Amino acid sequence: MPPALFLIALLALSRAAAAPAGGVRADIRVGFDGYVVPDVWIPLAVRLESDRAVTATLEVMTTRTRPPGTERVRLSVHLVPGTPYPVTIPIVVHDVHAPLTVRLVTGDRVLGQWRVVVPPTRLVDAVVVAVSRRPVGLQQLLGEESRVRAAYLAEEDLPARWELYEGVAAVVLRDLDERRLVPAQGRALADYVATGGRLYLAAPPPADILSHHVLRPLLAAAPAPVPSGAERLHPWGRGGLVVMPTDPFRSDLSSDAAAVWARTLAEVRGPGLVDRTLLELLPRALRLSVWVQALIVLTLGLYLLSLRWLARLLQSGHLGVVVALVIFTSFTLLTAGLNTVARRGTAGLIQATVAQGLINQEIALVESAGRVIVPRGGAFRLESGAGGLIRATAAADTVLTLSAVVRFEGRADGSLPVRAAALLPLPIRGTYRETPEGVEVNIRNRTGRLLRGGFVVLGGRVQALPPVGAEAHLRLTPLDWREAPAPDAARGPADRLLAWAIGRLRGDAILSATVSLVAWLDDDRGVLRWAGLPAAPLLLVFPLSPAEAP
Amino acid sequence: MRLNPVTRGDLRARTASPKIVWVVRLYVAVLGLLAVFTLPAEGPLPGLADRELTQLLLLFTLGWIAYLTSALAVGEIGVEGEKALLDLAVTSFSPETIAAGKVLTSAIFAAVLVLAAAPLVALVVPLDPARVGAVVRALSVMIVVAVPLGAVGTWLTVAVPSDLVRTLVHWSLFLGLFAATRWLAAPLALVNPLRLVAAAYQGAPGIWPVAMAPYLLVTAGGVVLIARSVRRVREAAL
Repeated sequence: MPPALFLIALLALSRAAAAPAGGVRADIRVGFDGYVVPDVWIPLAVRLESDRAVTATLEVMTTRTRPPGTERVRLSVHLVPGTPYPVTIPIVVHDVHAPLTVRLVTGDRVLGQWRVVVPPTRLVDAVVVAVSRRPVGLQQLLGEESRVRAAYLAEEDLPARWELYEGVAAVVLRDLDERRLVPAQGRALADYVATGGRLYLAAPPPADILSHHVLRPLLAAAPAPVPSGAERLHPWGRGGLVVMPTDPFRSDLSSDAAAVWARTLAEVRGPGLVDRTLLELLPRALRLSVWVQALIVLTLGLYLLSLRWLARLLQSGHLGVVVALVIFTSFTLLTAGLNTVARRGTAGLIQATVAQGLINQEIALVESAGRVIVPRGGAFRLESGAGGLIRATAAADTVLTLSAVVRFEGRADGSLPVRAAALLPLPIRGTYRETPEGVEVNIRNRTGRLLRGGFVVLGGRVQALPPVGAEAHLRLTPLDWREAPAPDAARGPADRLLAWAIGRLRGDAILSATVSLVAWLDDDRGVLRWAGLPAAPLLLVFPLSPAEAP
Repeated sequence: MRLNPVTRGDLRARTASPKIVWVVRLYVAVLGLLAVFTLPAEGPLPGLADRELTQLLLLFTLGWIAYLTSALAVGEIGVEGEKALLDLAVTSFSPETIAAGKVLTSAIFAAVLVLAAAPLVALVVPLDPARVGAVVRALSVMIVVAVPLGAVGTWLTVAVPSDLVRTLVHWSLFLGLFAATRWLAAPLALVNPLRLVAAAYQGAPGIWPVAMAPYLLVTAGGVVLIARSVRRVREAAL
């Protein structure tokens, strides 16, 4: 079979059959141009059509076999006859051999069910998303055998949530028809860049694309110097927009330009500040209250002491036997009650939330790593404080419901690691200036909350800060810099987390070069919420901008 | 309804015995300790899920109930005031009354031990109807397992006159039942008391209820053997 035909056949397999089911038809596409990056959020685009008005729940179910787990994502849909209903659902595919099912249900009735097959050959390490009227050439630059694949998308297929870019190594835009974009897609693209993504504009003169209003805010940032000099880098948060003077989709691309593109696209997106090490810092269980422990021991002690009395009661006729049975039952009910109290008291969420301020953005990438603790197994329910997506990082049966309040429910046996991220407004600005007398730091905090327990971090060394209210002007003298504490030496979870953040800053390619502020912010918005439990305070990691010369 | 006079006497002796109260205290204390250690103060025991923890507690309880029931019957744990089979043989009670009474004593004592464990099991088992039902099922099976051990133990007090040999035979039978039956091929392996209680707790559909039949047969056989022994003792005395 010719390679092109083979590719078309595979692509057809990765799209679900559009056979009508219950009068509802569905066109389903998973991933980017059929490419699926495992274990990260990817889009599943569904286009529903119905012959009648339907209000139902669209459910996407992904499973994994080893260890077993089923993850469901649910979304309410309202179908109108004759009007296509396009919707994109974030999903995580762990195992292409396990079934991926899309269902439309109302109550207990299944209106339609479609099975999606992802061919193993479409499983890739990452994708480079390209929007171009000439969708050819990029894969040659990436390497034909590369596990990073070029995915050519139409404007309307660009994700409308920044999280869905998780498996995207870079975005290359050559042509962009803004009329085909909704505002959420433009915001998602900017947020993707702000959270560390790379956006390349193939903009050979006259470069009309540079005037697009979606890109204008990103281009407004002053370009940073680039070693080769040919391209212009506009930093934006943790990432940046790069204006390339050549068109990688042209068949007559010069070898020099091709080499620049190949080198540029091969750059690996740096890891985020929050990784698995954050989870390892967290305690593995919630402590049972000392009072409950004491009550349990007291009850058992009383029970032991009462055994002689119970034995005597058993000797004293029918009434004694009845009284003894009542006492046995009372003790059993009491311990059952204590069991319930112990279960409730030790079930909950242990989480660490790190808010990473994005330079000059007044927004923060807030990431939460946590453990859902259900000591003896059972159901749990979390809510997303900021509409961000939540997922388990281990196998479990879970349901993510996308509604006005994002809910994450499921069953855990003991402990289940979970992760969530959101972009939240953070009206804090900070600058620093290095002078012969030391470092001058200015902080403007318009969050209305106190920054406490803070440090300024420079080159792995730290200086403690007093609590910062609305504004602070500080001069940090050279003699007051101290070595950062090691996480192992820190006492208590809060100090360990601070030490961890300072350690991560030292290793962060972007933030290690600048002065940063690390402090606690009593922000109750919380990314992960467990009903009845107070939200964890945010550990703010905020890069300070160099102040302009007076 | 009148309780069997032999059983009534045995139970009166046992409930009045300080030694038995201490034995039951020890049993409750050990189970209580296990229950407390499985509390989620520092998380459950490493590597054990909730279901496994409950199963562990139940199997531990089974070991205690089976041992105490048979050890009391065989006289390994002596109870002051409790009439031995030889003493009862010279009374006016019929051999059948004596045999049934002794076996009933074992059954009631096993039930009391199960009852005594209830507050501790309630401290560990999750309170959902399905799990509570499973635990009640498993605890009931423990009585079925313990009674034949009591019946055989009672018979051994006459069948094996030497205390030392009787203790050896008792332990051999006890270990044989718990250990040797583990190596039986399926489905005979279900006769193993640990497997039987685990199957009853898990409630998986299968033939596990049938595996209780040998225990009921041994109990019935025990009653017959005890009655025959009493008859022989009386004939010998004449």
